[in-house]
Amino acid sequence: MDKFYQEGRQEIIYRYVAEKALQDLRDGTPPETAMQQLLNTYPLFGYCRQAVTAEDKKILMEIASSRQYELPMRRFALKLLQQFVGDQDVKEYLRALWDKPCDYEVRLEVLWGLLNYVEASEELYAEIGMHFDAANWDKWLPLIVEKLEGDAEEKVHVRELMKRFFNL
Amino acid sequence: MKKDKLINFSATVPDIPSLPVVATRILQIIASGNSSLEDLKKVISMDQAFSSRLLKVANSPYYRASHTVSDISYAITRIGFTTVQALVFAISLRDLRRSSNKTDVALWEHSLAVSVASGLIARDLGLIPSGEAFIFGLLHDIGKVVINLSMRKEFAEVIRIVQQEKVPFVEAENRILGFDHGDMGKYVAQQWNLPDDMVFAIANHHEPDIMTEVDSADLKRKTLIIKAADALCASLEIGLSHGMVLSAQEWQFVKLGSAKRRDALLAIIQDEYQSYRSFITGQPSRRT
Repeated sequence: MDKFYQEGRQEIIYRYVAEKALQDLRDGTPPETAMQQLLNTYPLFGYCRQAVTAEDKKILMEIASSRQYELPMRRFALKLLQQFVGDQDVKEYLRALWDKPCDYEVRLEVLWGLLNYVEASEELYAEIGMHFDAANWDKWLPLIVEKLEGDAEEKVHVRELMKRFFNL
Repeated sequence: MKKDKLINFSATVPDIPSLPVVATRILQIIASGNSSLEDLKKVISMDQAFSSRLLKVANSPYYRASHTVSDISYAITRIGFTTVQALVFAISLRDLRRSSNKTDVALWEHSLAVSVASGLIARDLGLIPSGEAFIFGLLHDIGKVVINLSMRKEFAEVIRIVQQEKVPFVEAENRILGFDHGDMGKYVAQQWNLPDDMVFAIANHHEPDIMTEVDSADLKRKTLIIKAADALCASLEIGLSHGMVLSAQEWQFVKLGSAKRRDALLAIIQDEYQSYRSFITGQPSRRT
């Protein structure tokens, strides 16, 4: 009984935090840095994704593009945009953002969106390969593991395997 | 049966890159957000580069496992799903930068077709598990892939001889290189700690004396399934193979003694191969 009660309470808290975070974004007051980090983690991110609507696309695009926002905030916005990748405006937006110089944290999220477009050109895929180059693998490899929900131990493991077997 | 040749293959076996089209497909599947073990296994199982890479990792002493694996599902389980996803994603990004030529594509198509054909022969005839036959077929010409990667010029000459003189690959390879893709395949498969039966089939799928020289029925079955699949795909002109011949006794052993039965199987191979190929390339099926 206690367990069920606890789970119910957590559910309410997560839902509240997600709604509050999104409302803050709509009001133009982004959450604090620590909270931004937390929003990118599961299960809280799942609740945020549930709370977002198509009307939020514009504000999410503004946040993701702006260097005024911290990286976790921009990543959060891009991750929320993923559910709208089928929309033409989001598609055009992601393609344009890809062409702008940006950090790997942002670039990886943009890439995730672009990979949904099966009709993307060979040139784009060649560019993707160029951006994730061997010289900077220490920057992007841990981010890939994180994106796939791997923990710190898996980051070390993947790095070790890439070095040992694939000459990274 | 193949005898060990005194050839110094001391150079490190190069990493075998996948074709950009395969790398692209893998990236798309992982980024789709709902990639399951089955999706990932399906695409990896159709590509000799990714299959061999995962088997190499899973069978390495790094994992301290007591037995070698030839099954991609086992390899993924041993390495871990998240780790495999991250590895293949990172490697695919690198493979996007590598260029491929017509020979690379032809070798990939042939390996896929032989893989499909091996699986079908094994499934229909109940000789060995079809999944096992599938991976044996996929990697049967890994020696050719490595030769093509490390000796591009010489391999181009081998292909020229095969096409102009209509001779089997092994003959042209022995003439130009002093060894053939069975020798190289055996070396590579041993370097990667692949299971012994797989090493044997890779080394011996062109040998003419399997029926008389091999005692183990299991080895005989596995090697002759690959040989038969290779011959059927060569007759469909998928890839670069030429001049594959099986004796009546060998066809009989894989229960394909009747020409009618072989013809029926050819039609199925062609259809299944095209459907697998389309899954990877995203292009509609086409007759080769």
